[in-house]
Amino acid sequence: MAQGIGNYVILIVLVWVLGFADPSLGDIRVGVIGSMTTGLAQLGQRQINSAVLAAEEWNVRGGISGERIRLDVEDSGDSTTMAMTALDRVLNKRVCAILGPIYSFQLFALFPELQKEKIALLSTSGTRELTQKNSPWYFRLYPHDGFIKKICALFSVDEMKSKRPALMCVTTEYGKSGHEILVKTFREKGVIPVVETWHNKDDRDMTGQFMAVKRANPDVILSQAHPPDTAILLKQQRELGIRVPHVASSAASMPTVHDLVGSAMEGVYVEAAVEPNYDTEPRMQAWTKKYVERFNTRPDSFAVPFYDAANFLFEAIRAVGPDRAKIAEWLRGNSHRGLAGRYAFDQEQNGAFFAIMLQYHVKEGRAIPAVVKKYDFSTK
Amino acid sequence: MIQEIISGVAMGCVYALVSFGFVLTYNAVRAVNFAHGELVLFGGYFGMIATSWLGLSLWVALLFSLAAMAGVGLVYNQAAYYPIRQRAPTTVIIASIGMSIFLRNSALAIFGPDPLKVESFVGDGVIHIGSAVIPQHHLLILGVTLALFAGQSFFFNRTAIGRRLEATAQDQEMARLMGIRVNRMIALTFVLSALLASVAGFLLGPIWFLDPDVGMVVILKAFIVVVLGGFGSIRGILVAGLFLGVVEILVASHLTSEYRDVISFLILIAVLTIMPRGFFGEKIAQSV
Repeated sequence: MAQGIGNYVILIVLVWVLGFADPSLGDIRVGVIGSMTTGLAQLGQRQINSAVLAAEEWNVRGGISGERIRLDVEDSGDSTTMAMTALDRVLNKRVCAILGPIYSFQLFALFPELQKEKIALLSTSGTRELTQKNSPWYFRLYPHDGFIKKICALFSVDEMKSKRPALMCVTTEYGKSGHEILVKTFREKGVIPVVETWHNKDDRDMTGQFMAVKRANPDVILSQAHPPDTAILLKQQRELGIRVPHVASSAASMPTVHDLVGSAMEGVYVEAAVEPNYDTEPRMQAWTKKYVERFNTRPDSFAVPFYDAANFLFEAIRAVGPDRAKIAEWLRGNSHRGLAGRYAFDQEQNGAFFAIMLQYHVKEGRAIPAVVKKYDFSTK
Repeated sequence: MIQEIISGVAMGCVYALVSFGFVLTYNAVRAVNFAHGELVLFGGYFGMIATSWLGLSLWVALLFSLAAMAGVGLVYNQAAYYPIRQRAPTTVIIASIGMSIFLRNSALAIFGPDPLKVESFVGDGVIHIGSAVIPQHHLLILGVTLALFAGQSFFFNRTAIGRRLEATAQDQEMARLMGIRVNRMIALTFVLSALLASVAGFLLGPIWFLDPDVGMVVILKAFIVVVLGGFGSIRGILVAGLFLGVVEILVASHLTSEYRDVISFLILIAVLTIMPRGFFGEKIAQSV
């Protein structure tokens, strides 16, 4: 009788273990938050793809210390509310670190919760202020505006000999942050922009702004905008016959923008961290080929640093285990040689200090970039 | 200044064209259709499917889009209006918001988040008049808009079916007593509205590009134009569309681009303060 009851108990325990226990027990869980829906998904989905690719590669090699990496992916949409919900969801799954969204307005909203939960979040946003909020849990793996916009202004003055720049910026946090750095750098070089125009990210006509630019007679136009408005800026400048060199922000390096803009990409200068689709380095070419085969879409210049961020994070977990505080500590003290360059964090936890200036030429209907200047201020 | 006015007129025509279908539905069912922006979006997407995916010529693509959007108009009527036609207008409005969300997310699922382009019938060429530059596509927009507005006057005043639609819009009960099949007329109105959305999508696609959020931008502008023109007034939306298009560009060019929308809205409020009914309409308080 007692043996029969014992057998039942064992059976019940087995059923519970096999049927109700979390099947991911033993996996290393990492949160991934990015825009999978709304218009912002054009950047977000490519980044999520990068994280998936990195995790798959690690898992094929046996994971981390024999444990599989499991990504808990959540959609941050186009609002802070959705980003907060996504964060709550990944935290409920007890992730040890997070690969976060690119959009700064969402990241700012996540900071208090990261502080409370003491969990590291890595992302590839360029907005300068993000790392000036003294959040010990936020790690940036993309050259920030303070660095990359400075390069744009320096390139205009030193290489293009500009004395009369015009600035065309979007009214988002990203646009304002970039505008501030551009103006500051120009002033340091003794140059005052002849005109500054603004547009909303949903604006579909920039004629008014371009007429103001035309009247000011600039010798170069610098724009700081998101992909759809960048495409409209470049296309309308061409249509309106304003033949002034254009130094565009990194959105103009996206294949999507090239498809929209067509021949108006001719001669456009673009700042970027990296250009995966035309990089001649064999390692980058192999990665891009793999990405296209896996996801049936071309990566952009933001997808590569996100892939690097994922690998940097997995290295940290391998070194110290899935301990939130130890992961952050390890990231602060170590560096990572990624596809795009070398990452090492400064005191503000900015990790990328390299960039390239591209110039596009249209050949047989395709926008082909050439690197005209490389900047690398990484600590060796 | 000439450049701003020319571009403003082109932009105003786009606003008027989008508002046209919006007003047709409003006049028929006395409730605004907040999904009209997404209908414009799908009009453009169907054109893109025909040209890019199926490799059809632009003219065939236009016919394809018109046919597809006629179907969408019928389905919209059956799904989001007919079952709730006896309810209060607010119910119909909420249903249209639901349809807007459904269509926007469907667009995202089917076409992805990246902006897409529809080719123009007249290419990317420009015409120079003095110091002003006019993209040929803007001339096409102007021509099509004027033709459609002239055509609607003939259609609603000179054809039997147009008069039945007009009668239904004026008083459904009276139209029913006169033997007009009101439900059929309303279904036809949804089809006409969707056809106009198809044309608008085709004309917007080459200059605004198509992404799932374009519908929201479109409907915001259309709503302003409809309020400014006078709720329900067809000629009002043409005048208001042109007014808004020109004002927006002049403000951005000569006053401030940063506060362009703020000033445009202030002008809108000022106009409505002086003319509470809009340019040609009835009192707004009675209409919303």
